[in-house]
Amino acid sequence: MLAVEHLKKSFGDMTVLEDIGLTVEKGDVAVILGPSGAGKTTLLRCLNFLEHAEEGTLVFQGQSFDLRTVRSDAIRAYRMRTAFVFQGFHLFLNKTALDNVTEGLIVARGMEQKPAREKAMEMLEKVGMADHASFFPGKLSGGQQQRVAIARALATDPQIIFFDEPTSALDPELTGEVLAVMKKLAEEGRTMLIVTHEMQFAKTVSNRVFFMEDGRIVESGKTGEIFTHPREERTRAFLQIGTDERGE
Amino acid sequence: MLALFLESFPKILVPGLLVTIPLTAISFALAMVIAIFVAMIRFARIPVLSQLMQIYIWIFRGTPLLVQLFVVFYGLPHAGLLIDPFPAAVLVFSLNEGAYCAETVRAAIEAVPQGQLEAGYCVGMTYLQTMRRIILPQAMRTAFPPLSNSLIAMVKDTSLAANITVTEMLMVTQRIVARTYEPLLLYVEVGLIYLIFSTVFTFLQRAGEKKLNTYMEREA
Repeated sequence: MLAVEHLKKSFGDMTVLEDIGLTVEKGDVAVILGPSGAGKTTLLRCLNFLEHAEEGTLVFQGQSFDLRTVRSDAIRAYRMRTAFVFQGFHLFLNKTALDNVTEGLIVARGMEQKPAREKAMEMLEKVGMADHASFFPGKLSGGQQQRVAIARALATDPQIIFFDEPTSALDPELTGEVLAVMKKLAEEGRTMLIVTHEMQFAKTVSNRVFFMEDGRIVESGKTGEIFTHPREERTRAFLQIGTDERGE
Repeated sequence: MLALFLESFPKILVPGLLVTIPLTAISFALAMVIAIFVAMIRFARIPVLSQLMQIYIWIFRGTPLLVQLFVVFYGLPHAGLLIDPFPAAVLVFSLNEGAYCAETVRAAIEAVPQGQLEAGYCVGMTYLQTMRRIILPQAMRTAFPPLSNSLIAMVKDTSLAANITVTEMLMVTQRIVARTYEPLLLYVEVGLIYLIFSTVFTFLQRAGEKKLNTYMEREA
């Protein structure tokens, strides 16, 4: 459903993404793993046009975008069908939890107040935040904010949800509550592309892995294979470190 | 002395309520529209327009308010453009204040975290929708105290309009002084009325800040 070919991105004269190719099928829970500075977040941001890639094509549900020439109305139409969950949550600070979720429905999609609120409550229910609907973000913990952000992402029925290190700003306890919600979404068959450092989560929940280093995808494949028989030495080393850190 | 004070008080206060306050309110409202418009153009770095706005700010911040009043009221008629005193004052005050406030608003917009705009895009909102619904409400909260400052400064600056024959408080006071020759009493009196006006605005500012703080709690 989402395929990228030959994506290239640089900041100034430093190339940060080189010849990226990646495919996500409907229902996939795909993770992008790799050391810090590998370009994982930049890649994810390019896929939702938060960064401008200077080369490459993106095919989404049969529609092709040339990343060099894509127009802003096409970008907006694309974003209407995708959702993005940020490392820093980025809830709208002047809106309550409920209004954070309804905003995309009412303002961007012209939905009526009442059905939008019902939909939003349903989503907050799903992430266990219905009892905090009237809270402003400043009154919520990081984990709670991130769960509201996930509800906001779900509300618009996206075909794919991008997660950019959704738990990296959270302590272990809060990380657990967010990962539990994401696991639930995976079980519902939602298509997700996740940048994460949570190896246990990647291993048990995802079905596809992209391993990145130095702006390239070094290795990709089914989760089971990558975690048991990685072909590349670099992947093996990284996953070893990854599991050692968790004391396994 | 007291008799003169009491007799002149309503005579000065009435033009204050009928001229000074409306002149301030209308000019400041227009200044806000200009400020937000200019700030958004500068924030979005729209080519050409952005540079034009920079020139506008440069001119109106860089020249005396009194000179601007003179150019519009006494100067423009020589170019065939005759403007009545009150509208001329509104024009100059709103353009002058707009230039200052545009920078205040721009700084406040830039202080809103970049992620707010990105989050707006990602739920499908356009730039303008995100600006109106998310960025500006947050920015205006930050900008509120400095903008209140500007408003209070403006109440007092309207006294300059006396120089272009607007019959506001100071001009009325000058007339009474000319008749009674009691400058100390009368100028202190008009100062007192300005002080009352400023105090009222200060209280309004506090009430406004409180209201803004309850609808959006500070981030932890």
